[in-house]
Amino acid sequence: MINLFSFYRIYKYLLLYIAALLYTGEVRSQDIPVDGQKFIFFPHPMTKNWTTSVGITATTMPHDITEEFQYRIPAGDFHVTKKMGNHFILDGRVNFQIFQNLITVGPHWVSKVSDRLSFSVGNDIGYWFGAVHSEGFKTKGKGWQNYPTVSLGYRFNRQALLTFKADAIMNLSIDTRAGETKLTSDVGLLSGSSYALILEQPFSGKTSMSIGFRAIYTNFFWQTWALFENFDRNYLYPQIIIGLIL
Amino acid sequence: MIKYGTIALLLLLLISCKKEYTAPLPDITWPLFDSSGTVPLTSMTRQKIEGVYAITEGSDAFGESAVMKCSYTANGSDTTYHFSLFCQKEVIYIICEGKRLDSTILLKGYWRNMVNTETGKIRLTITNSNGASQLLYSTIADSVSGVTVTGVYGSGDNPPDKNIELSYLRKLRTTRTLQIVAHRGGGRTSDLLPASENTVEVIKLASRFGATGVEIDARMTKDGVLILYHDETLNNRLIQKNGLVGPIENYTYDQLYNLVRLKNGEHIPTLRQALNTVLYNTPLHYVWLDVKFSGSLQMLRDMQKEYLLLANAMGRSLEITIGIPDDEVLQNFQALPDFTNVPSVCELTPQNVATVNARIWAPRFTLGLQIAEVQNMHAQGRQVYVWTVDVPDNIRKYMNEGEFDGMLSNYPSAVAYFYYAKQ
Repeated sequence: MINLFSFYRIYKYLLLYIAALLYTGEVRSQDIPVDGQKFIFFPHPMTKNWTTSVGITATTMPHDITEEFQYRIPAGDFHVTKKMGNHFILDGRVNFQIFQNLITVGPHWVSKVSDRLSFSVGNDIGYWFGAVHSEGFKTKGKGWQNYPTVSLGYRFNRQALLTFKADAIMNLSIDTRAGETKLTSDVGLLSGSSYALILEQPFSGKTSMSIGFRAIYTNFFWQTWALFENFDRNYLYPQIIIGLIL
Repeated sequence: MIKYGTIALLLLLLISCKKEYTAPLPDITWPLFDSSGTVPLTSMTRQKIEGVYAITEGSDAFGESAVMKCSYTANGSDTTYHFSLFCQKEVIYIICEGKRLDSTILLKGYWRNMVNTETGKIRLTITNSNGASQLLYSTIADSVSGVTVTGVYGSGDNPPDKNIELSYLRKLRTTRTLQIVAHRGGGRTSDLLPASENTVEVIKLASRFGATGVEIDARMTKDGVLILYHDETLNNRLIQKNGLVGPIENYTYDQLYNLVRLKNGEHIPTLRQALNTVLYNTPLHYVWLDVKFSGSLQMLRDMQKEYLLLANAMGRSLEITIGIPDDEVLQNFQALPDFTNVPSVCELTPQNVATVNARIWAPRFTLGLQIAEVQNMHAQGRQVYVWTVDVPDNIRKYMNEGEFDGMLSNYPSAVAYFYYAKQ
């Protein structure tokens, strides 16, 4: 059966929608200043002290890693930004699947280039941890990661905020155990990079919505720690991001 | 300007695609090796050349030491011998053929790093002054010393231009036996080997990778033919795109034979073809039949019995065990007549192992070393094979700190290195 809502179709629909927005960017709708809009990914100085978003991320694992089970277990996504100064924000995020979770936090420097264009640079430190205790598994793992990041934002007339975000993915440490046995995971410091396109728009009432696609190219994605894969190859992990900005 | 730049970026993302990794075998032609003056190496030479070697030049690429081991592939009366070098660094192996030219030993082949796609040609030489004469002519056992292998290696299909030198250190370890079991007949399709997983072709390669046994996945077609295939469905991970989808058990063997090709172009083999290959073409002496189908195991049991009898009649050491991976297969196994006397390898609990009187208990490595449980199995006269250990440090740890009798791995060459190199 043709799956109209397959991952790649959603990704392409999103890109086509953004492209359409660009083409129709001169539509005569009211041009709301960005200060009056809610955003969480858009790299722009904050006017409010806090912004919070809840949502999900869903990542497709490559066949070479998960074999016939090309699963996409959604992870809860709690995202918060805190204004620290005119140009500084603190960005914190929790991705949770209960049995494995990732927390990232880091400072970002944000700046406007023009009325429509802005950018940020920052660095997030990440800590992932998990435990699997079921059929044949008695494993636990944890690790530190580092994500230097840059974002470029563009504001459309139609209250749409588009962000292109690029991260480098670095593994600072990985600690895994099977029973009481300490295991080794052969993963280098420089693990890969990711590139995301995220669109943020008013949704309903006072909420806004963010929807994005992130292409993660890495030889270690934290959600696969329990598979103990040894490939030194960068695989694509496509990820959908959906969030409600409260 | 920005608008068009962003549109260009979007289009770039739209057409971006996944990288397909490949590791094609390099062309290993070497005119000197293939010249008319070369002759095959004798059995004595093949035996004597085996050993642990220090890598004195080229250690940045291959590590500090390597294990040289000889294996064969038989084809009727024609037997091809291979010399494999299992290297200390990452998961790198070298596979060569060997010949003699006057008083010089020539080895030509290729190397491959299993964790990525790196590969290349290699040409090795042992000259008379580097100890070839004692390998070629001496009939005194244990007389190998001062043998130096020199040569060149390259990257991909480029001409080999980097130097490598190995010095003989000692004989291979023989104090303890370990069954080195290659996963899926030799390795997974995703390991980018010259053959697809679960094929006759990869089984022929297994001993070159250092395996002493293979694990293969048995499924049954719609018309009751036992075949080798891992996944439940036909999918692009294992087969070339052909429009066929769905459970493999919905297809007859003829349909699979005529319509399906595996990733490297092979047909899906029958279990009979696979067991014939093990028995008649390889030095392998263990087969783990991992049961991937539901229903009666009688046909599988009959084939196991047939090939054990054949091996016995040939005076060939071969053990074939039926794998019990889950409760459903356990129930089907217990439905076999006299099941406690059917050789099996059970992945379930020690209690289940005792119930079916499995010869081998096979816990997943993610349960840890389980020293007490392993010792308990040994006390009951059973063996313990751990699966599937792939990270070299973990292979070394499980081998040195554990008490396992066998190890299943996608990288049998790494297991072979740690096993044979240990003093």
